[in-house]
Amino acid sequence: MRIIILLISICLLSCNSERDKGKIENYTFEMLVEDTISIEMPSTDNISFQKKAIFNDTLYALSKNKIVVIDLKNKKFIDSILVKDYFLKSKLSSIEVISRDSLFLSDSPYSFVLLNGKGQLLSKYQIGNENVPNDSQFFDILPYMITQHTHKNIYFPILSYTYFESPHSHKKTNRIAILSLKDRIAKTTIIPTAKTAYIKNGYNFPTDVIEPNLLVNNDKIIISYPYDNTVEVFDLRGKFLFNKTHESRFLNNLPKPLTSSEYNVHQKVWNKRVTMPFFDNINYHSKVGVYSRVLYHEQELKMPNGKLNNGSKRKASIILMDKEFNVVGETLFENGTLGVYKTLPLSDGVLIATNSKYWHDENELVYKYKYVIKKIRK
Amino acid sequence: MRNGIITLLVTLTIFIGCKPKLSSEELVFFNSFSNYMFNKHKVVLNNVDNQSFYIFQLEGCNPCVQRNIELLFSKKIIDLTLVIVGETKNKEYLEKLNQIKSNYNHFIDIEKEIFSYETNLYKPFLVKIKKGNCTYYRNIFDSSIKNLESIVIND
Repeated sequence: MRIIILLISICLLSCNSERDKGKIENYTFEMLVEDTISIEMPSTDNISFQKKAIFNDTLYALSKNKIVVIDLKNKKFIDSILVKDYFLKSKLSSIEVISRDSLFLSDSPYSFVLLNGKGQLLSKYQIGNENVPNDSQFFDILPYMITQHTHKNIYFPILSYTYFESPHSHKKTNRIAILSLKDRIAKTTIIPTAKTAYIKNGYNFPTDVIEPNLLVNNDKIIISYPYDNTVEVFDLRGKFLFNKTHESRFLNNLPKPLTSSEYNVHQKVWNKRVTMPFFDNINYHSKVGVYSRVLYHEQELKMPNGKLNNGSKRKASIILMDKEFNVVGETLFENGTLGVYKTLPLSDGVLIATNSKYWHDENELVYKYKYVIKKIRK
Repeated sequence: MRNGIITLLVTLTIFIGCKPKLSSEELVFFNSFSNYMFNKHKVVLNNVDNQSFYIFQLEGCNPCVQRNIELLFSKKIIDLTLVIVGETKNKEYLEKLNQIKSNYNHFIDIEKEIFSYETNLYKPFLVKIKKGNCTYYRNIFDSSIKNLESIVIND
């Protein structure tokens, strides 16, 4: 009996390795390290690199009341734009760069300002609940919830607070807000969860992996969920176009959700977040016409010293996809070299930072390694 | 056979008699907290008697931090030791914290090492220890912070 089990196991392993080999042979793109970057910032600025935007390979990061501008191509600090106190109610919380002279900022779920490149006010937006349906509320745009824009509109997720308690009951009612920069009116459109990503009644995931991720590109809204490998594509009015599932050679099974009773114990929720594999937002790299998505791999709950795993050795990979979301490459990062939420998308690749236990305000650019997407020569 | 049954009954009696009031989950959290207190602060909880530990963060949600600081600043709760996690730059809190530190036996964890252990810290929690055994291990939610003294004394 043991021999039969052993033979079946060997067969399965060899099938898997053959399948992986097949996948790798079909790859047409790869990521290669190109450069290391070191840029000193003015020592007076405590910069949060968690709150940032990229525009034409220029990085815009936020400190308490300043926008810090860094030229990544020429590797230098450019400017620190002061945002006058009376524009804002509290600390800056998100930024979207529409052009060098048009910076869209928020400091709360309801308050947005449009500033020019010198920090002067162009327009102010107060969004009231009267603009959204009764069963949904504006949710503070957290650093990992990315706003996206066309030149006319800003797009961001709107979720009910009860979504986090009971995602199942909101599977058909998730919305994104479309804020018209000209009319200053926010409309909403329903973006149902992809069927493959439905979370069953009575089950849940940790908060930051159930928030829908959003990318607006080529007149399409692309929605994905960190716990799932399906990409849903809508037009700019919210009409469903198609969906696509992408595989990873490092992910055998999607993560299993927590039961309600597990979800009620905070430590179990955090333990799940420590161990489960999950995806980052989808990025588009215009110079190479390729989409990318980071997969953070599954890891053990505890380290050899018995402490909870701090992710310092966590593996991750970047999945590369063509315009139809077919996988065209996947590059592995080992030993914590690609930290969680530590990827800056560039037009031809990414800048990455290594893992760190906590986000700190910094005075030096933490993203030190540049990887470019290259076509594989065969 | 008879001896085996007697041994089983004695074991069960001891087990039931000594069973702590904690759930199995709380027991895991307490064991992790004990490891944390020893590794970080060199405190052996088995040697502690009639002492309560109140663990709270300075970098949690603001209303919760404010409630904790106001309460601990305004009264001295007997037999309560504080474990203060993280740090704050709020000047008002810093002034009151200095007073709190002088009133209470306390431990500081600026590096937030407690999060390397399975202690279930997200809201503050209270741990009561009698003769080295944990008799109470619960989170204290925002609405209950004002009742902390009575929870320490009575529950």
